[in-house]
Amino acid sequence: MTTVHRVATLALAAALLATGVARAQDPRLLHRLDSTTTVAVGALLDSARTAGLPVEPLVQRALEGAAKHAEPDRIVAAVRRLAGELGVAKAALGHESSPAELDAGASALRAGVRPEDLTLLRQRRTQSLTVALAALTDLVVGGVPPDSAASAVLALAARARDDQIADFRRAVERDIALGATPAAAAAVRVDATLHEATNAAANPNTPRKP
Amino acid sequence: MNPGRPAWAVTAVVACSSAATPRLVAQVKAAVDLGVSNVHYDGFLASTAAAVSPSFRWAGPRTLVVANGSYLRFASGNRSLQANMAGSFFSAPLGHWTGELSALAGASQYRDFTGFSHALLTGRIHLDGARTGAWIGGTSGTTSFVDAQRPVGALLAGVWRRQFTATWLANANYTRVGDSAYTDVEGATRAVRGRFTFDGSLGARVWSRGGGHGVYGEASGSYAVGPWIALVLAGGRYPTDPTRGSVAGRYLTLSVRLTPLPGRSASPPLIVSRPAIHHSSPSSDDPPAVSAELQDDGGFVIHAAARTVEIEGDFTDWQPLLLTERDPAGWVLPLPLAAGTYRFSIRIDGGAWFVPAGVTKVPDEFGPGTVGLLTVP
Repeated sequence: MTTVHRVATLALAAALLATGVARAQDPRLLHRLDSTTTVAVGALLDSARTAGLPVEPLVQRALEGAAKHAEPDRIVAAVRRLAGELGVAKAALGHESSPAELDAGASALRAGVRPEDLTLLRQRRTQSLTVALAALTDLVVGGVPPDSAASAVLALAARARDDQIADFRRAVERDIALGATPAAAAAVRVDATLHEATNAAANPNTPRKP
Repeated sequence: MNPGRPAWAVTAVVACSSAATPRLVAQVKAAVDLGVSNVHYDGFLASTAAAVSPSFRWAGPRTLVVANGSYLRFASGNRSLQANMAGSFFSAPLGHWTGELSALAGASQYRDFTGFSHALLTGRIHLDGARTGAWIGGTSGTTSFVDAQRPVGALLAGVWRRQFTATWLANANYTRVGDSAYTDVEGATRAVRGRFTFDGSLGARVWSRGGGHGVYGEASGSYAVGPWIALVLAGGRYPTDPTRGSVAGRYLTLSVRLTPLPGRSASPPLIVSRPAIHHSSPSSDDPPAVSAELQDDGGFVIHAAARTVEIEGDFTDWQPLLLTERDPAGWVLPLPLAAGTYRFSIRIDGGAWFVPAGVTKVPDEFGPGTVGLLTVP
């Protein structure tokens, strides 16, 4: 952090303190970050709080940086980036989204999923989106192109239960590990999961193969 | 048989060398490799395996037939089978030019539930001199995994040169398998001196969409103990091959090669002579040494044979937390996890922090490694 940045940050902190905006620093940050970084992160937390975003993921990101002895600039940048992703996730998923959904949505955005796909997912699925978003993130991280992954999860969104989506993700991961191309694995498994979801809905008591 | 390189590329190498060497009489060569391998597939823990790899080669004046297979038994008790067969027909030479048409088919199975198969047709034109040559060609075919068929297409080009006791080869391949595509650039050499034979290759996947990136290379050395027996030490790293369903990985193999039909080729084909390793990887069902499992009741368990297991993550305020040993090799988080997405790492016996198998890994914003991503529904 340059001298100019330090001075600017301290000035900002003083202003915030004076206006009472930075009214409550998280005590966990006070013990793990230096004072300058604490103030900068605190300002980001206040902004997030004002915007209705969950602040716990931001605190944890700062603590992660502290645990890994990251440079203060890097910690502040990471928290700022996550706050931005949470904001985009909230705009895409809607204001009624739970903190867990927003956190999962931010991870999906980080992986490369488009905000429009998060919006479509919200429109198609009435249950919580946490598992579906996590599956989407895992698929993209695992190598499935974001548009193919989004298509697969959107196809499952309306009919599949959380456990079926989780099973789908595991099956795709295993296929990829065994050599299938990620997009092909997703395409094959989404058909099987849709078939299962449809049959399970029609015959809920039909036993399934182990 | 090269475990990592696309099968038709190997055929191309065989054909290249064969086209450059006039064959007046048919030659038959058969061998079987018996060996022990240590294989480390990307994303999995290392595993040992016993391997039996038979191979057969028949070369006529204008035809070449190569068949090989492998049977592997992993330390977990799981088994895999692989078989490939390729046949090539060469046209009569027109000056320095020769045409080649080859067909290749193969199949593999890991345990009893995962099978790949492929069928490929390759056309190639060779320009051969006494010591140098080149070829260009294309491949078309299909590969299937479970019940999904995918088209395969490839463009191939390469050059070779024979100098003293060594043969050098360089080739570039552009391959499409379904919606995946990649370009490999490779070089290889073979040198024979007395009873020693050395094969080496170095390549790079310079461009890829869904096929991975990276540099790979393999080397093998063999010592002929007698006319029918040789000791072979081979190792290296190979790339993902979507056609044959192989995961990128690295290996080290020590084997005995028995050659009941040694053949008498004056110029053996330039094939890196590593023992065939079917590298359909162990599935996540294999008991890994360190893995994480989120259980249905919300419990989080680390499976590891260790004296201590610590975890740090979003649920510990990124402070190391000692896990409780529930049973041998089962370490549990002593607190329930609420629904949410968590980043975390673990360490064993006070060592370096890492992400266990069975967990999604994402880039670490604060360092060069990765961090685990865990979602609790």
